[in-house]
Amino acid sequence: MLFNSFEFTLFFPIVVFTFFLLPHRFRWAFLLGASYYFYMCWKAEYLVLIIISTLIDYFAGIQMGKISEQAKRKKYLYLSLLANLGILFSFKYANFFSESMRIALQQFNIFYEMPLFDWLLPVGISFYTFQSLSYSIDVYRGEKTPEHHLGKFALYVAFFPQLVAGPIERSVRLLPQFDKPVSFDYDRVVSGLRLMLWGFFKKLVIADRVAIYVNEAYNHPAEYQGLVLIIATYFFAVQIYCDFSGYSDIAIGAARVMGYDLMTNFRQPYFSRSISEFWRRWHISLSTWFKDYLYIPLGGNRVDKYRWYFNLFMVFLISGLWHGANWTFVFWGALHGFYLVFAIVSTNFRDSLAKLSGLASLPWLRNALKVFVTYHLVWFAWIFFRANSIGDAFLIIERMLMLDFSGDALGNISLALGTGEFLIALAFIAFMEMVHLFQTRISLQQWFTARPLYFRWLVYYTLLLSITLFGVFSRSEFIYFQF
Amino acid sequence: MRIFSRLVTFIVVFLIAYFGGAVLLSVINIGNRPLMKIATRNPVIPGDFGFTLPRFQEINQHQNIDIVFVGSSHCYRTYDTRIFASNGLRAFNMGTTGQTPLNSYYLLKAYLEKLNPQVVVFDLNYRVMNRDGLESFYDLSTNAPYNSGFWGMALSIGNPHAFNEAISSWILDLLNKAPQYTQKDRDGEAYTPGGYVEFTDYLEVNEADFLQPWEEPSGGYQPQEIELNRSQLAYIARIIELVKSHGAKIVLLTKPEPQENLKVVANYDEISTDFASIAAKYDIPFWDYNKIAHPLKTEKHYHDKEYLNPFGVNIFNALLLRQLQTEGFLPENLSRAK
Repeated sequence: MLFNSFEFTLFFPIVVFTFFLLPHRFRWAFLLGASYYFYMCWKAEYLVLIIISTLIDYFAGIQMGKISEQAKRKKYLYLSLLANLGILFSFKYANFFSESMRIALQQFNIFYEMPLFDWLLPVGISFYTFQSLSYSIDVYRGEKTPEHHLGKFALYVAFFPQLVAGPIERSVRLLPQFDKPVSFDYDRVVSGLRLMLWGFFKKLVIADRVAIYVNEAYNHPAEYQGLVLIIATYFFAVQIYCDFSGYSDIAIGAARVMGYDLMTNFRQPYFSRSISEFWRRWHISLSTWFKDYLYIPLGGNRVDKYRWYFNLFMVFLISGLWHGANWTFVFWGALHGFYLVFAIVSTNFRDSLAKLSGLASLPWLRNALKVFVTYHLVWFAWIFFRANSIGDAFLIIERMLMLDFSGDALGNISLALGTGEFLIALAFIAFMEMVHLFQTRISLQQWFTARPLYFRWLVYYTLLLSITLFGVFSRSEFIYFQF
Repeated sequence: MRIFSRLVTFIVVFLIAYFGGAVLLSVINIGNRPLMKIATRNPVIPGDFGFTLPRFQEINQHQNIDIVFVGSSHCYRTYDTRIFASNGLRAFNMGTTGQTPLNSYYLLKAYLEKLNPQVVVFDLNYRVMNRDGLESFYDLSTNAPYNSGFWGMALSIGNPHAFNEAISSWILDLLNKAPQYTQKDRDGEAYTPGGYVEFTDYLEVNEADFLQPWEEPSGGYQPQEIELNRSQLAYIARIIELVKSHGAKIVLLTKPEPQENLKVVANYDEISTDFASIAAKYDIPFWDYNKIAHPLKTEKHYHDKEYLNPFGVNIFNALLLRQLQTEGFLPENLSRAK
């Protein structure tokens, strides 16, 4: 079931209403049933994968809890790793590696047809396997006591607001919340609904509108050049932010309505002053997952500098692969890894340059420049993320340089959107960015709730009317569903 | 209680604000198009493709007719009402671009009483059976005058764009501010009174001299399954019930296609069987002309891979007329019918 579907507009109020009617002891079972139903609306048979992952990690957790020595717990950790990564590999990466192997062998004149599997990528597989894995690792490390209630553990893996696209929650945060009785709290419900409204606005009014432009340009890169491809990439940066952060807002808001707190996933990432800051503000639940379960076990920065660079690069390479079984994602991850290593290596040089040029004495200008450069490094990397192939990505870069400022070229710049919709898209993006700018200065939540009722309602109506009158209702999936 | 009354107030104010917003977007025009059309992403150019504008400009001139044809573009490019008129029959072709059974149902609901036909010929085409009806509704809300069927259509499509289109058409009708459009000339095709659209690029050629080579797609035919939208199938049944309740007869029909074209539809037989079983359930005929012997030739009687050319239309309409007579839908002696 999609958040932006008619079914969800019926499903969610029914779930919330029933949830608050039920006594606390039945709520986990109801939410688990609702979460499984939510997933089954997409493809019922793939629920089996979630159940397998749940059962294995539950069993591994219980067994690890019985053993005091960490070394002896290892075999159960391996079981959990093998099961989750095995499911992930089989359904997400098997065909990619098969195909890549076939192409690699061809280079040596070895022609071998590798087997390909004809199955759909299960929605949200990367999210729930990582969430489930984090529990096993935490129990193995002794940072979390095993959950003995199978039902609540199953709910932790499948909790519907964040099941298919995160945030990737940690068991230490989410599981205890299922034990805590929740009562109806008007202010919290309103706060959750407000966040959902903002998420729907970003998804339906902005992301899905600019996606029309992006899809046209990126699916036919040979037909466009210069400004169109540049604008398409700016639009993609907006699209992926609005799509994914919109999903996160709806997920966090939906959970908040029912009294559960999910972790913040985005904090105005495009205002970051460095790539490392960007990754502390973009898809935070995944970045921290990789930090805690991959980067630190690899040694983090407490190793010699070359090993440190290697660790950083590897984490981002794997993060790229996590996003999708395609070389474009691997390249995108590698590019971010390179950015980070380069930033470390060039720190002294950049500081000296700032002093020499006088920028060091103008911190506001230096910060603005840092934001600008960081944004454009991220922007450049998005080309690889969105392009249909590595070849397309390089073609797009090449054709971006073919700038044409003739009347004809400028006249056709609105592309598939048409001038009217193009301007509507720009107006809504400007509105969102103004809100973001405002958010960088004050706590919007606090500021907003202190406003008089008429003002708050005015904002709600503005967002609701923007959605109902200017939303794009093509029932498009969220980008991160595919990961 | 306080929460409940606040919720009700919020909803009521929202509905008023929504209506106000819809009025604004409907009356503000950009290039003679209401802004609402941009907001709903309606791509239809008024008075252009499909000739829906003149069709619905003349529909009110028709009443107590003998035959009405409903369906998609395959309908308005196939059933030539002039041929029926020359046989003394009053016919009207209500086909519109992308018209799905859902759209046909609400159009019939709006116009059946007025047209009051003896027979409804419902052209079923597999191509529109997996659509939701929004494309057709965009066309109707742009080119046809507001009618009560718009609400049912919009709600059944279940897309807010459709609802916004419906409310905009209603507002413009209410304020008497519906934009006035004129039909553009289109190269190679012409509208004929009665609703049929004729390919005119054939009129100078004799059938005997005309030959259109059929090109097989490069890489051969790639058969694909067409998944029928169950809700559209349900609307076929609702149309049959509606027409029967009105006391008219109904025929389900699939017009002939080049046999080569059917090679790309892997489950054509299944689709045809689905249509036939609906017809059988209501004890009405379903004539699938892709399964009935006919003299139409791919190279001579088709304009392209989908539509008949005027030579094909003449042959097919004569054939249909004869079948309607022999099966008792029309009197045997047409000259005595009037």
